[in-house]
Amino acid sequence: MISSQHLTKSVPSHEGVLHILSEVSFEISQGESVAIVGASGSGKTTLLSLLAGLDTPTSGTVHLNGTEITTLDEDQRAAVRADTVGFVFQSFQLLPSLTALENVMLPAELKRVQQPSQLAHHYLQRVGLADRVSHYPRQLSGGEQQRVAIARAFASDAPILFADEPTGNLDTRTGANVIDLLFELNQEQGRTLVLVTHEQRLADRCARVLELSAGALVSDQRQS
Amino acid sequence: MSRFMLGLRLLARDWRGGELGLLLAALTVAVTIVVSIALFVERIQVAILAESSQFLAADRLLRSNTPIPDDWFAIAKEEGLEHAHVMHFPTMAFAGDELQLVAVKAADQAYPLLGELELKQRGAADAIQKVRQGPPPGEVWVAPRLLSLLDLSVGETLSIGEAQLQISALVVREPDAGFSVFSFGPRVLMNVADIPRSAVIQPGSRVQHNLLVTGSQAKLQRWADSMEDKLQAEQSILGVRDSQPRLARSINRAERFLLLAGSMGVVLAGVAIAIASRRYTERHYDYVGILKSLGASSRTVLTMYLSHLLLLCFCGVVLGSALGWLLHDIAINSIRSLLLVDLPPVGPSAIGLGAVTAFISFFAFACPALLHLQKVAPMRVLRRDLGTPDFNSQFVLWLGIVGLLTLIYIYSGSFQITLFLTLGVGAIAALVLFMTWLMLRSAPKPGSRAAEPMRLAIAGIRRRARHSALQVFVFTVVLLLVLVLLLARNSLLQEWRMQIPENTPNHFVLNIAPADVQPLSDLLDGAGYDHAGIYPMVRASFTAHNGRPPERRSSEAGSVQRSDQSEDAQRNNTRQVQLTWAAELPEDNEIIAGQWWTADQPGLLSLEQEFAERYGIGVGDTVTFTLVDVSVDLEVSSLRQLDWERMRPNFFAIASPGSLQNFDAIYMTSFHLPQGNKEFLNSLIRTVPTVSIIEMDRMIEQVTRIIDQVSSAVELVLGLILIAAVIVLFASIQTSMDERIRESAILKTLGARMSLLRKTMFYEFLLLGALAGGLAAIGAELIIGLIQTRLLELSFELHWWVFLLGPALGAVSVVLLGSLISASSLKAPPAQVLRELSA
Repeated sequence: MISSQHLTKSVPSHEGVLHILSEVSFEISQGESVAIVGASGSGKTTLLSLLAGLDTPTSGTVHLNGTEITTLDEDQRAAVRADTVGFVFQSFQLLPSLTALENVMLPAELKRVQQPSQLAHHYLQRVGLADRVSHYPRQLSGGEQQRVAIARAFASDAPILFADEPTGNLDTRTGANVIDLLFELNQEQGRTLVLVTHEQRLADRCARVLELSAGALVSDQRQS
Repeated sequence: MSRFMLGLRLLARDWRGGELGLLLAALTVAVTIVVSIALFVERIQVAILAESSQFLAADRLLRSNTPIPDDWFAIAKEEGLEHAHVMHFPTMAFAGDELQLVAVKAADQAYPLLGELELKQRGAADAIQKVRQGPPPGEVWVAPRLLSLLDLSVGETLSIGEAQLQISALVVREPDAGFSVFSFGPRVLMNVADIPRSAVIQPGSRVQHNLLVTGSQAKLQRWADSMEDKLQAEQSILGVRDSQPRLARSINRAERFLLLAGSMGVVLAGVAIAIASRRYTERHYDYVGILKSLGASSRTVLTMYLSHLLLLCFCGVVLGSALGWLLHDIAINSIRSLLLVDLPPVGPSAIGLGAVTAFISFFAFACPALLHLQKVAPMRVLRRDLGTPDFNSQFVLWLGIVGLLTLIYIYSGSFQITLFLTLGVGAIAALVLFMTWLMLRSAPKPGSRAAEPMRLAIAGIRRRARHSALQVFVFTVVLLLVLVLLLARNSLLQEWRMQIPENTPNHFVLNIAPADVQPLSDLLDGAGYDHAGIYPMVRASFTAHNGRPPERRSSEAGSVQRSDQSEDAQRNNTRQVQLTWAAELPEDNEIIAGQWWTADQPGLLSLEQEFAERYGIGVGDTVTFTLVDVSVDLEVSSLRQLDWERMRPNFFAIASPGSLQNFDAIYMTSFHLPQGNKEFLNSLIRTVPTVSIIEMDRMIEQVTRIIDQVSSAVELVLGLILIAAVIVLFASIQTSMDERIRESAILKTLGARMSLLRKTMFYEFLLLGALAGGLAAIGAELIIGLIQTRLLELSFELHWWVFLLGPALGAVSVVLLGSLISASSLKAPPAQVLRELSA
């Protein structure tokens, strides 16, 4: 489903070339739930951005659902993202001028799916926000905003879900609720879930944990 | 669903979110400025020209000293022009044993084509009656003072030659009163049909025949073109600008001022759109990042935003046009009482101009921001600092400049205005960059005493160096345009006021015999009327230059072309020259070459500069004048510059005393007769019966009224531009507000008191405003120098007060607007501010 081979990301800096990721290789199968963990600055978010095609590597390849995205240009990668990838971000990334419903409809609209509103209503109901469809992000709490983001990720009907520190901006209890919801839906829908976290509690719920340190993959553990 | 439709739907959602308000407001303001000024200028120009045309009682006038061929009337008719026939001649009018030299105007029933005749039935107490045609055959309308001169009353009979004509009304005002050549004596208006039976016109009679025409500009031009080949040397076609050169210059200047103001409106509009687009773009980086992360391609983003902007453009045009129309209507209504003519209906061209402005502004100022937007990387959703694309500022700058040039040129149609404004704005940009660089280098560092508001303010300006520079630039441009307009307006109004000052001579007395000079002078002095001196006058032929026949360098006799420069000079440029002599250099004359004579130097001549240039005459040359068979050779000792704007006797050629003793001279003078004292003219005629009086008071009154209209128009347009300037300043301050408010919220969180934040912001605005005002004052002086000397044909003068007004205006306006915008945000709790700004 996802294949990363010799993935390297370097950027020039004042002190010479800075290696953010070095030769990271692994494969993720369909339906797997994978946590990428590591200390701050270990390259977790960079790895996620390369896997999702949000950024391009210095060298190495990424295959998403059989397509090598590292050779594609930005617009081609966008097309792949539209079909393959859903996101949940630490800072929610909802569009402030759209209501909860409109935010959830957006990926479907971009893919020109018929009747995106039905789909959006379904997922908003599923995340428990049926009564908040016409609220704007600023009228929702952090937990509610993240639930809207989860609904949007699933409504995109993408087989792969990427989550970047999905509980990073939430208190413990709200974070736990959001995680419950994320895993519950993922199980229901049979999607592949890749999440970046520094929370052990969250990593423990994934079937597999990839650990990064200073840009290198130092462990790849499958959990029972 | 197409991308376009998606774009529209997102636009609707964006609108609800309040994001588009500022951009739409900027666009609407842009279109409003352009449409309102264009409409206002268009209607006022037509109105002023229409009123000015009444000077001729027509749009154009064909003037001839010989009878106008019948087929020329037919040609005017074929071209679809309305036409009238008017004859002017002096003659003696009789009533019983009394006789009086009168100025006859014989007109057909179509006269006047433009304007109205004002009549009274009996005396001064009667109500004025306005009519649009001359007297019917068998009747005459006369000037009121003729009645007392001939001891007549309305209803009695006046003899003009063989014809007995009944006086049926008194003429109080003729639209073309100021344009009569034979105004020697009271007016008698009669029907042209009575001319044959009067038998006053005999071979050799001095008669001026006028063919008056009116119609559309295109038809008039076609007619003028077709007549050009048929005109004899002594015949010419005149428009209002030819007939009233002084007025033409005033109108030309007013038109240029209004165009200048409109062009500045366009510049302001462009700045407003550029600012709003940039703000809109910056606020949409995150938006595009999210869209891209969700799979939107660059093309989708571009199409989406393009459809947003096109729709916004359309809304801006509709809203702006409506508002512009409303604003111009208010402006027109406020000066309607000054306008004597009906205003023409609004043409579609002003709205078209508004639309063109909106679209060009959008493509020049908003599109670069748009193209920039599509380059936002999706990575921005994870790392905000990585997702901002590099701005190709060179490209944007050039696109903006080209857009601005195109707009100003489309608007003004004047290469000069385009060039001056571009140079001015360019110089200001360079100056602002330099000053900002200097400021950032030399400003004291905030250091440890960060709690002092002034230091915090300077630190803030330094921290946002690029933004501060941009803001100073925008403030400077806005203030510069306001100052330029203010200066141009002041010098125009001052010039106009000087042109016809209080007590301008409004009556000219000609043909004064030498023996009558003293009695006339005594009469004028006794009545307390100032006069400009009594000048001797000799009409002689200019027969030789350095012993050879004079050669004119360019011939414009009978020209149908309009020329801006000294039509007076052209009109009088025949070989017949009015000579005078004087011991002293007349007031308002200035020697530009050679020297004025000292006492007792006969045989010298001083020539008007343009006259001398036309014949290639220089100081030291010999000029010969001849009257009948007497000739005199005079040596040119000086060249003079005259102020043709002044209503006073001016002479092309002045000889030194004693040079013209072989010629018989008659004298002339001019004096100011206060309104309502017309009866004085009768006692003047009785005292010195042989003189001729030219009454210029009606013309001066008309010129004054037109200048009042033009001045009001200038003031109103200035007002519109000021409103636009405030809006642009507002938008510009608004763009920097997010950053300032965020910083204030953080400082508040850290315990800073409100008063500290308020003072810091006050000083920041004060510094930026004062700096911009100072730069604007420098730029305004540079630009106004060019405009005054090149565009408005005025002389340059330095305005020291601008260097005080500029910084003060900048500081006060920016501080006031800044305080207004930041007031509510400063009061809000910091958490709320930070949440709203990060949402």
